[in-house]
Amino acid sequence: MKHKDYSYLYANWDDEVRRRKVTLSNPVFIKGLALAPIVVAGTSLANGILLCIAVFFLLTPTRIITSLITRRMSVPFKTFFYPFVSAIVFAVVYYYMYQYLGARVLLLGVYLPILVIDPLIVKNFEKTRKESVLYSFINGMRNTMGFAVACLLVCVIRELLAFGTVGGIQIMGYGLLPMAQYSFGGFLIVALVAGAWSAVVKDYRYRVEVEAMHDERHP
Amino acid sequence: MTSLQRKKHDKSMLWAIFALVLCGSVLHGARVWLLCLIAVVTAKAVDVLVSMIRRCDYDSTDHSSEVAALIFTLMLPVNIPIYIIVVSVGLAIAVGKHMFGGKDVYPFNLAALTMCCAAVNWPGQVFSAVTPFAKVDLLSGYTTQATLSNASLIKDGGVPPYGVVDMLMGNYPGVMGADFVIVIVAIGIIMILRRKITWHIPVTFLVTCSAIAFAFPRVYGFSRLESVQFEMLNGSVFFVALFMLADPVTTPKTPKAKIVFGFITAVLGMVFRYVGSFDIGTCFALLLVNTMDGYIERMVGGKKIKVKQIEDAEEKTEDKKSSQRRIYTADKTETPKPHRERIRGASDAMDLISETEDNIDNVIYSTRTISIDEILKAEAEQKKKRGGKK
Repeated sequence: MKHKDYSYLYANWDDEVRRRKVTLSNPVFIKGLALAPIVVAGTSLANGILLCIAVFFLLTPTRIITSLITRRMSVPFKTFFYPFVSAIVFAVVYYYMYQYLGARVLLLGVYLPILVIDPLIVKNFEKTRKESVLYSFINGMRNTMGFAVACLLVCVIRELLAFGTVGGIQIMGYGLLPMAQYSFGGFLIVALVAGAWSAVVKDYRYRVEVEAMHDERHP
Repeated sequence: MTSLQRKKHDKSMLWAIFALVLCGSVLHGARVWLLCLIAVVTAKAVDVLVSMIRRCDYDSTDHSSEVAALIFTLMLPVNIPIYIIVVSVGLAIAVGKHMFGGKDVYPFNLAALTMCCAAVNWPGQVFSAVTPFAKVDLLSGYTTQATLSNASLIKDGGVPPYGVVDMLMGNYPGVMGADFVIVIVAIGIIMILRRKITWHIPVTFLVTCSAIAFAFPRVYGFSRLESVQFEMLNGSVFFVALFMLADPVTTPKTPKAKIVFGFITAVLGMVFRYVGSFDIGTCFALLLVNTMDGYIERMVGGKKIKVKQIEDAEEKTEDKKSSQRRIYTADKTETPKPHRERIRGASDAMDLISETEDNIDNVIYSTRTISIDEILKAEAEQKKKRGGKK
């Protein structure tokens, strides 16, 4: 990366953080959203893909519809509308998921419907400013991407450690850490990955700062 | 407990463990040494590696990880696969020790955490028992003489078919080093007499466990005293009491709090043994009670009193010293500065140095060179002037 880019990044760091939902402000690893489904239900790659599909069809539409409805509402009314809309959207999504994917959807148990009130979907009600449809769409897609990356990463690690497989394909002879299939193992793995992720982001921020300062001194 | 005391404690523990490893190797062969070596190397390697990742200095005199790894290894059967030891020890040291701040501050007993980690992951391998003098493959640990452990037998409603002497000597299918009750008791007495550990936690723990076993016997068809004998001589109760509960980092510091700590651990440990899924209920109980360590200390009040006493004593000694100094320096023109003022002066100097360090970059990149001494002098003069104006 060029020094000019670093200085630009340093000057607009907050905007960049808001924009880069996959890396700099990952909804799972940095903000700690949607932990319950990932920790409990995200035990295999198949479960992870199901969760990603559900979030893809739930997050952005909920956000767009709610932003259209609640454009001139105060926060208390928004608080009511967000879960209401997400529940209606979820009913439709769940119906079609069950039609196309069958009983596999039931593997996730209560952790699929729980997405309706997950902060990942409904946290936006706190914002007081109005959102355009385009902004809602773009931001919703960024959040979905961030969630998908985190969810799939954790699911792959857990499946590999617990059963020695990835997506059902045998990689290792035995599971290196069988407790990865349980919830407490999931918490541990999410914590470790989130810690490493935060450390990398912190290091990146430090590097940007140093390079930008260097650029200022030697234009 | 100071860092020096903890180091001394770790060294004495290492010697005590060495005695048990020796006994274990007599009964279970050379594989005991191999597994202990692997555990120690793993603990050391993970300690160094995680210290490097955390970018903190590695203290080579800190042996807490090795002690925990050895205690954990001695609670396992000799046919345990090597990777279980490596993964469990590595995970416990990385997560249980370093993620909570590293040496001297980790909240959970490392050996208990390692044991729980292994028990949850590989219960089949961890809770098996190997007959003494059985043939065990050195690398794979394969043996044909692995059976159910005594603790599991009692849990399933059975009775261990071994005499008291055999159970005291550890001469029955069991683990590598935690079953030699006589040796463990002897080590405990020596360590208490030499003041390496205090009696409060182990004795309270053992007495409470015995009382519970006497009051609620699990082994039917036998007298209450025989039930106490079966409960206490199996399931590594003495080993846990001496080696895990005496860890100075994760246990309370005052005698009263230690007694309460030992009592709660024993009650919970026996409850877990009676109704839990695993034989090593004490390890889970210990982890649970570790979370209440600070609360117990506050609840009993020992720490507050002690801190207050120390503060009072310090004030008294300071008063004495200052009065002595006043007498001694009565003829001199300058009176010695009180302790707090000296600290304030030192912190001012530190502030000055840090400010100067902040300005070092400017010095380097400016065209004329200025020595740091000059800057320090100039800063000091400016501060003096500001102080004078105020």
